[in-house]
Amino acid sequence: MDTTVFLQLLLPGFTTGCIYALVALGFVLCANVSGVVNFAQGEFVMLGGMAAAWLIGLGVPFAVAILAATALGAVAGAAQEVLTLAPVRRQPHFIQITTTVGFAVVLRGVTLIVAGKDALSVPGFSGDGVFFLFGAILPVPSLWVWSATVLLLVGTFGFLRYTSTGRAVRACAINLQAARLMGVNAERLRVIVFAVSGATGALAGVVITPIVLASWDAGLSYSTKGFIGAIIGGFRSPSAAVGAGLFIGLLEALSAGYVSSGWKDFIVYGVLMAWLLLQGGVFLRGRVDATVGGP
Amino acid sequence: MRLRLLSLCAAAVVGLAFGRAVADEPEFAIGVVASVTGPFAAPTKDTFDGFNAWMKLHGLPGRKIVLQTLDDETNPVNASNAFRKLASDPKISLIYLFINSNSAMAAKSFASEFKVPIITGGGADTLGVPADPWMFKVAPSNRDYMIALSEYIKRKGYTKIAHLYSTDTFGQYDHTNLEKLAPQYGYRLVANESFAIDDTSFNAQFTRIRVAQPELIYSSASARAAILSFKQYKQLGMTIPLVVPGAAISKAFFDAIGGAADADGLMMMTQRGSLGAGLGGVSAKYYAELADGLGRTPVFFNVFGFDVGLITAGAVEHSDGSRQGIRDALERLKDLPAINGPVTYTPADHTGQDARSIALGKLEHGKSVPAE
Repeated sequence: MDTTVFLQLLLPGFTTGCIYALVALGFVLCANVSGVVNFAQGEFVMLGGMAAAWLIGLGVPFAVAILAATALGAVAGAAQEVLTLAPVRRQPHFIQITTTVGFAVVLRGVTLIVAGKDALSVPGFSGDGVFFLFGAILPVPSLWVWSATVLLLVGTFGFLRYTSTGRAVRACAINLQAARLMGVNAERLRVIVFAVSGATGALAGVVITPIVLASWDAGLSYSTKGFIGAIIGGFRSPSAAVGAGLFIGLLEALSAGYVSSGWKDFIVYGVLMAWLLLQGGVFLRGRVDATVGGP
Repeated sequence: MRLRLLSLCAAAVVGLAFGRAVADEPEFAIGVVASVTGPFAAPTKDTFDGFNAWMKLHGLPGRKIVLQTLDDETNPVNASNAFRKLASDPKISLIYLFINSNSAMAAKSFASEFKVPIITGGGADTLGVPADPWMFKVAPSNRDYMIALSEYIKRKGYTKIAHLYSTDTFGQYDHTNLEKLAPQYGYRLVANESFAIDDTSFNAQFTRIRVAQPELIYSSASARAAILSFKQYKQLGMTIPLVVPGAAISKAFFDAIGGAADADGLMMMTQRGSLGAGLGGVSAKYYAELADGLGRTPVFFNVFGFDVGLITAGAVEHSDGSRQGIRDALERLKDLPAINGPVTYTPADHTGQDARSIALGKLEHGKSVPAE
């Protein structure tokens, strides 16, 4: 296969990877401030897409629908923290994680009831045409995905690096107890981070919908792939999670193109397994005590 | 597992609207396992629309049909559980499976256990042959479809074919049959690309297909996969003729791709019912009734739903109304007129419709016309 074919596989894989990267980023941010793996992360993508498609279907102008869908994601994220996670904060970790799964199911169910069971489509924000990049044919909505991803990543990393709230988030990630002693209001931060994660995921859902449609049951797939990205990224560094999310998208596309479309999931999950085994020190002699959360 | 009990009271409402004295009529309870939600929801909705149109126009004279519907969420495990629950209810005389092949196959494994007649959707050959005494398929087998497609390929002189198929039962049967028929009809499968029914990107598959340079693509995708794969086929600017199953074409399909005109030229392996006006005879009469009942051009699963009603009437009217009686009457049906084509069952073959009911259509402004 030639370069054009390579790019034809790579670039759409990059588009999908952008969404996985944003979901992975949400996983890591939420985990850093709350210590909880938020399995509802992919549902924010679904929620954003469904909300935008539903509103646009009702005749709401594009810009308003996009803003409303993003705001809805933020509200859902904040509500998840305040209503479901804060009350179980002192419970064992598995309870908190199970709560996020429960929230995901509820979000899915509510969306199904409100927006219906059919997959919803949204016309491309600047048309449904295609453009050529080094011989590869790509749908114009891909540009929106790429732009939104860059915008969201710049915004998120700028927020983390240059604002006092962002620095507090990083401080919590490094040492929650020390951050509290320095006067950081961890509870408030959690709400902010969950809202930002929700908004980020929802906007990702909005921009990907013209390419893949929106459906009430699409969130699980995004959660799974984003989770894999977060794991491979180490679940600590937001930038590593973003890189790993992009990697998963590219790996999926390239393995489908160069190996077999039937093998792509096998390869992605195979890489995850291999990574976990490597990280767990399974292949290192004498290191048998590695467990999740440390020895 | 969540199962939702959805009581559909359409029969009573429709009956009252038509002035029938439904209150005095004995109830005829039909259990329905349906994919009300999940990837197969759109075809199921179309099936219900078609069946409701039949109920509105015909129904079962002297009986009030009561549907008891359980949602399988397009999940074979849920379908099995829902089937068991409905079949265990002695009030239910007949069960419909408005679900995909995968789920229907799951139910077939214990269809005889409850001794309740079943009329099932799904295209997989093994739903009808070998015949389970209690399960009756409606649509022709995959092999019938693939024979019709292969004959078209031979007539056009094509030798290089690409197949895009799902990893579920329906897709696997399509692929197996095409592989078996290829040597006989003188063509090669130069690209064999699979996908999962919840996949959202078909870019890699179409890229590999483009590289293989086939003369025709047959895509087994239906429901959401059909929408996404067709959108991406168009986005990639592909001009290789594309054939899809008739099941792929639904109202949701047209809505999602931006309108019926965008699908102009798309070919489909479909049952004759989709050709509407060209049917002639009793089929044409039923088709016109269905179109009137729906208030629009019927799509594939509307016709399927209507035909399920006709088969039900054909069996119930010639039975004592018991489960065994209905089963026996179903097995005696021979060339029962239906929109898609005549329905015949034998003790060895519970497929229902056959190759006589298949045609290759082409979409023009949302309507199917003969492709040749």
